[in-house]
Amino acid sequence: MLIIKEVNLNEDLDFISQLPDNLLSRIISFLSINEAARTSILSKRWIHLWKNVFHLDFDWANMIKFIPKYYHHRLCKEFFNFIIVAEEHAKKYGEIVNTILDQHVGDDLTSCCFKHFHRNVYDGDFKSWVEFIVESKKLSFLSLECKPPSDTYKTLVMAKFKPKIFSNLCSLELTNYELEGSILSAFESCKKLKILKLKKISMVTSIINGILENCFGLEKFCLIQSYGFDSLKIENKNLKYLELLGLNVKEIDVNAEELQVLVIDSLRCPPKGIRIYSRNLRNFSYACNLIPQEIESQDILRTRDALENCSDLLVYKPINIFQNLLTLSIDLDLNNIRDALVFSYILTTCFYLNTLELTIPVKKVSASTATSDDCALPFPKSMFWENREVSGFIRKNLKFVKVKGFTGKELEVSFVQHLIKKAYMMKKLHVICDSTIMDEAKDLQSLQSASVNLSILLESEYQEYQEDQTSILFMKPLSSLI
Amino acid sequence: MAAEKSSIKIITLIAADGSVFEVEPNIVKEMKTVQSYIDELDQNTVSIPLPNVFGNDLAMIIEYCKKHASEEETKEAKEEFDFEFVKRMKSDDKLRLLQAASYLNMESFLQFMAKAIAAEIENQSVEFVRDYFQIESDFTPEEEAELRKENEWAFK
Repeated sequence: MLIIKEVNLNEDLDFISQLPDNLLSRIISFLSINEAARTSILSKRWIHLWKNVFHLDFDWANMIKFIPKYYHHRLCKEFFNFIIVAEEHAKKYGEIVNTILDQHVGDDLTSCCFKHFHRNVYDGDFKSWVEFIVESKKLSFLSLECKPPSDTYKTLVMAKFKPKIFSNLCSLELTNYELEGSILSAFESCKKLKILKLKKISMVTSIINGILENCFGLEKFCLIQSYGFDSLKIENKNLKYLELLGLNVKEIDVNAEELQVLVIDSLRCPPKGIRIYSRNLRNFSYACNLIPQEIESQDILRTRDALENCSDLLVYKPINIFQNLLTLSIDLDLNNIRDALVFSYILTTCFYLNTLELTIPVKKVSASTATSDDCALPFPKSMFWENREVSGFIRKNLKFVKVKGFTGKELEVSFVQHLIKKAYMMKKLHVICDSTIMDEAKDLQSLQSASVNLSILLESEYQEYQEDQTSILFMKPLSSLI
Repeated sequence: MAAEKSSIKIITLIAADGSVFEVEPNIVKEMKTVQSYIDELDQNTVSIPLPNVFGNDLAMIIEYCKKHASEEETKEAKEEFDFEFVKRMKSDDKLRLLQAASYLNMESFLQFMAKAIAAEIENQSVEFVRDYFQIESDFTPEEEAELRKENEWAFK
């Protein structure tokens, strides 16, 4: 707790009560909508300060009182009543939003978020809110999110907008909507739009690609858990950041010369369907976090496939997107020889890589599948990395390495040992492992390292019981040993 | 002259209490008030008085600018710095820095401080917030009740 009055007595603190209105409104802009409204009772001066904010966040969770649980249960039995309650909430939400927008002073509302009910769209309120703030305020950031489908409303709501409505926006986020043909006119002449985030959106192929074509100035694009389309064409010249999460498609074409960051998670796509042409990529991240591990779907594009198909490893690929990479962050089973082979090839092509983050996936114990992917080696597994020529670039540039899910198996150990022995510029090696193999992990610290500045950090992870709790056991700079 | 302008090596900032700070040009880029002053001058060395900013505050602002202008620092390192930076400040430090940021016309630092202050008063009682901003309530109980009713939804 803060003690406000604890200050130097000789210092004049009058300035606090004399802070100008615009600075106080700026502070209120960072409060949730209910907290902002509550500042009106601080003093007469404050009654209207919150009506002059530059950001409004209309989140129904902060505006609508929840009905008590017992009441809720009783109502659930009568579906009809349940709908009535939902309608009432939507109506109340609409009234509050209308009042606040009506009272907002000036045109300096630059950022606005709505988390609304389905009903607000059917009532037409939603459309008029968006038009009002876009047309009479200097809005540049807009985020719209409908309540997710539930028992009451089982499908996504169709969002419709006026033509060219987004033309002055710099950032737009849409969540939980269905989009159809007319949306393309809303995206007309939106050359100022730099950031677009579409989450849980249902739309067909022509819609998503049409939107992308219209937003030619786009610098950051996130497409998350959206569906209804099977082909993605991303050819935005200015695009620097691209995030594709939880998608299921047949093909993805990315042709963005300026792209610097590419983040992919849980992608379902045939290996040959992924075509990425971006020479200037700095940061590549590939994982399967969104899909529960029990579901081992065949369609999920594995990291190995992604690595193969985004590099020049396969003959028909003219471009290797890894050559200018600074950070590589991937899920990869180092114990699988084929995965390890592809990975070792990629490492030889990363000329500038300085940060490497590997997550070794937790494997289900299944007896039969263990060897299907393995291929025979003419030498013991533990020799694998010693027999690979890790490129001089890796040895010279690699500074930070993080290995998560370390299980202490031969190939993993030999990889990590190899880095310790060869990467002479490495500053930090962070190994996160199950507490049961801590002893094996500790052995890593006794190795002679090539880098004089290397510190090895071991962290144990209690996966099964306390998922989020990790404890740092010890950290020892190896330089002291040399 | 343009070529000479770009040759400015060191900028001297003089705080309200007379303390002097010498900084490189890239550090003051974010301070629009200072930058526009520099742009108007055709000199090799510049010395700028800042009568509205105290030395302690200016030192902190420069520390922040140095960290954020550095290209070597990772995004994570900057975030960690921001976290610690706010943590070691008292509430009146934050309010003073907010005012200084406004005077120096530093948009992103201004947002950063406003956000830090908002985080302190979020979910606090009315009394706490009044105390924080040194506000004396000038409402009659009836007037306050009226306002509470007006935005009933915001008060549980």
